[in-house]
Amino acid sequence: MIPLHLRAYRRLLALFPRRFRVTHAEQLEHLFLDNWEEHRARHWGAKLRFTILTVVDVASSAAAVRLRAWFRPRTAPPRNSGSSTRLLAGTIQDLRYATRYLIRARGFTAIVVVILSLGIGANTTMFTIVNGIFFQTPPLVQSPEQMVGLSVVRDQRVGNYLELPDYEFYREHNRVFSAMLGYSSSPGVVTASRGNAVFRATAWMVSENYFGTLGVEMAHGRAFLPDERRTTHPVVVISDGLWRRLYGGDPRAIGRPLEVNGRTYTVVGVAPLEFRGTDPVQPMPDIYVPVGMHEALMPGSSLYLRVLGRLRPDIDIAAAQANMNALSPPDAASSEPRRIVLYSRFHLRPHSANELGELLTLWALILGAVLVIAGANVAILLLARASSRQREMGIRAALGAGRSRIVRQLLTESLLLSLIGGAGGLAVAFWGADLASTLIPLSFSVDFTPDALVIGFALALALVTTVLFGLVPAWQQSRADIASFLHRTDRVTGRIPLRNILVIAQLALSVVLATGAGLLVRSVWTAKGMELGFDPQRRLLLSVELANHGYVESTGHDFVRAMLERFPAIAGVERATTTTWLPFSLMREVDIRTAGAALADTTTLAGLHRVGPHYFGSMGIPLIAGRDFTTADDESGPPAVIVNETLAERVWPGENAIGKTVVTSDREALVVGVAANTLTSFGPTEPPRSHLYVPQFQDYESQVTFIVATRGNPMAVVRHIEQAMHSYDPAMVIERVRTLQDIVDRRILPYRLTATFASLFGALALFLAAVGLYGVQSFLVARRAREIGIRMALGAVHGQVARVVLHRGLTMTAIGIALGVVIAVTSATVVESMLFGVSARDPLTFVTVPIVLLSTAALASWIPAWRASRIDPVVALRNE
Amino acid sequence: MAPVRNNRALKPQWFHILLALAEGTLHGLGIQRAILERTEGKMRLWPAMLYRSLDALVDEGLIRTVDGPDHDPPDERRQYYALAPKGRKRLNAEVEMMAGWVAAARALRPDSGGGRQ
Repeated sequence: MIPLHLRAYRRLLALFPRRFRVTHAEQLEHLFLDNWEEHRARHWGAKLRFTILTVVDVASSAAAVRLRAWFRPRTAPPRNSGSSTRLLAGTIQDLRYATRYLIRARGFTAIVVVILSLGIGANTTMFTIVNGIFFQTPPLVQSPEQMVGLSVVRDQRVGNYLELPDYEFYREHNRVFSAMLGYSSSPGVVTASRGNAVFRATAWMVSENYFGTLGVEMAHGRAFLPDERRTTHPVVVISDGLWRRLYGGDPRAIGRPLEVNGRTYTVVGVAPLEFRGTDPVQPMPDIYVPVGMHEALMPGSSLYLRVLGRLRPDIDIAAAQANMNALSPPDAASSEPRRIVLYSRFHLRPHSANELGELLTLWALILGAVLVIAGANVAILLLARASSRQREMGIRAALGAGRSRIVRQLLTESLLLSLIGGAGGLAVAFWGADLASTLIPLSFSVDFTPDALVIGFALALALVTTVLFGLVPAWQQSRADIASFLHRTDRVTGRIPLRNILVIAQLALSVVLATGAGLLVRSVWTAKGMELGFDPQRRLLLSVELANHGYVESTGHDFVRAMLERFPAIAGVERATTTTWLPFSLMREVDIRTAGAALADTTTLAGLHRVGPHYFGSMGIPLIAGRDFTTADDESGPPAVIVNETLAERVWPGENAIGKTVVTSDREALVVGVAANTLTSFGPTEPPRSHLYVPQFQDYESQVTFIVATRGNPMAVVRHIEQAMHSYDPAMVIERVRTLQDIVDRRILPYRLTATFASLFGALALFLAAVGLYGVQSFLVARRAREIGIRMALGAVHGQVARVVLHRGLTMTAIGIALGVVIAVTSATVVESMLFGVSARDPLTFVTVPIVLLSTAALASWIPAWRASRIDPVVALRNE
Repeated sequence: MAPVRNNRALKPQWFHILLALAEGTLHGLGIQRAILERTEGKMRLWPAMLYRSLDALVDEGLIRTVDGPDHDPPDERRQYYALAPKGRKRLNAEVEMMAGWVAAARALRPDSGGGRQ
């Protein structure tokens, strides 16, 4: 495989003309790799420097080579200077001059580069993430454009999973796919052991043609064979990672035994390192088991598969859809009418993509604003800089440099700045994406490494920003005539100077950003104090999958019962119960009918939770009426349910729900209690949902989460609980250990991240705006030094001078803030969906932000004003 | 004004490449290392800069490409460069010119030991 850095370098080399690449690319790569090796072990600063310099090296050299090729016909290299060589010489001179200038004006260069790097880096990071989630196809998949997904529509509802018989049916009977694969992310977490080494690993069940259909070659050994389709022959393919952990990367692992959940398999193949499975939102699989092993691995459960087909080369998706419509699978007893819908995107949008998309949009908006502010800032700096160089330009013009020559020179400087800024931005993006992949609260197995597309994006962004903002000063500069350059007379034009407009725009934008940030921060505070409806503190959650360990309904109940007896005996444990649903996760909803209700003969939808005895007491959910579940609510007891307030209110408005009958698809039960509502999501628009609680012992579910209420730190009892489990079943695996508080925190995390992020960039925007204002003010003071000197010589006092300067700064600030507030008020709807408990027009935020900005701006313009008042008239006038 | 006439001074990196090749044929990495050593780490020719200079020097006829020594592993297919006669002449002229400059400067300010002009 080709390492990433070499791939990136190759992309960069594409900047060179073809002729150059043909002769030198290979040599360049050799040399680059040698240099890379030298820098490999260095600290990150050296690596960063190396990366930036490499990009600059290639970019500038490529430009030079292209120019050389352009101006110098290959056949007869001219010796004498024609007009083209002069142009070339001019360009090289420009470059040299620009480099020298930027080195000399180090402070200025550093500031511009930092601003550009931050602006571009933040945006590129965002782009990397979006690119990673939505545009990348899984690595190593051959011709991914041929892959289509099958989703199934049952009763108007679209699902992504097909039942195993349906998959078999479509695979056999279609005439449009060259192959069709299926996979399931169950059994999920398993223990893989070899001798004494035990690891937790993620296992998937895949159809035997899984790797073949994708076109993924095994790194070692073989993929599954066709006769392993309905096999009970226990074979597995393992990931590169597990192979290294278990076998130390020994190729002789092929054919060796591997124990998965206590059952022995033979390793037949090792998947390549880059292969990350086919589902961007699932944890990357470590073990692939043929679908045929399903019965042996998870007895009694039915298997649902995600299905992808590879279209025959001559078939398009519409034709394939027609073929699928013509097929109807034979009806099994339980199945409803269903049809298949094909979708062409390889990338399966996760169910949370909407929420994520909203978040990403908001982040993108924030970042876009930051980039605009950064750009405006660079422009202001360039403008101010340009004015201070008028004399220099005047001299050059007087010596015969044409207008285009001067513009070109200034543009070259901008270009060079943008290249450095772009490289810096790219470096920021490398870390930013790394950071983001750890911060985004989903277990993506998406590759967030910036690729060629991202590099291009960063460079394009850099070029557009600087050239756009560099062009303006260059143009303004060249417009003035030589005489005015040399005499430094400032003719006041009637129009508002561009720099003032930029400063005002910057101020306005930072008001918008800062208010947005303020609102988000306020709403996170509110969220933290939000009524959850349950007590998240000192609650430990431990999840087990009983089906993975050979339990069926009766033995499963026994296990849970035994645990609920043993856990409270552990020191530090107050009580224990079970649930099948975790707060804020997706709920399974059931249709319920009610007997003797106001809504006779109608059905309503409610979230179904199977919970253990004393669930409400253990979770701290208050009961409004009736009683909690007890150990008597078991298989032999009368069917009981508890409803939440919303459900009771919806079905029996104004009545007492206790003693009423609830009918679900397979059982009929009496309502024994009414529980208070709990928060199921943090969204502000979400109305309270209906919940139906059923005793775990009356409705078996193999995926069980124990809830353990503790006296002290919940994590302190984990070891004892694990021991208690192992004394009953030594092979039992706790798949996940969390605290309830963790789940709540994690749920708020995206909002908190956004708030942090917005505040960070809000502060950055504020700072940049202040810097811009300061820059313009000091520049004006410097330019008007003579005027101020004369005024003071004529008797103006310090205070008067300062007032004049301050007045100008504050006028600009006032206009900017007013404009910003108007924009912020009208655009507050953008963040509205992210807010809870705070109005999008929260007065506190809308008063605080302008005050903060005003005081910052006052300071930024006061310093130059104060300096103006210190001008010594004698010195100022003598300088002329 | 620098004493540049028809015979313009060589670019520093060209000069150093020619100097490095004056000792024998070298490949890219070898040239890079030789220059790095000779300038005590002050001049590092980055890969693209190096190869574009080599390209230009070949174009100008100052250096030429040659086969590598036999002891190199064949799969490494590195491109070697050697000084062309024209390049040697040019290098000598350059050194003479520089020596002239230094002498002139020393004559003017004998105590400065060839300080900056």
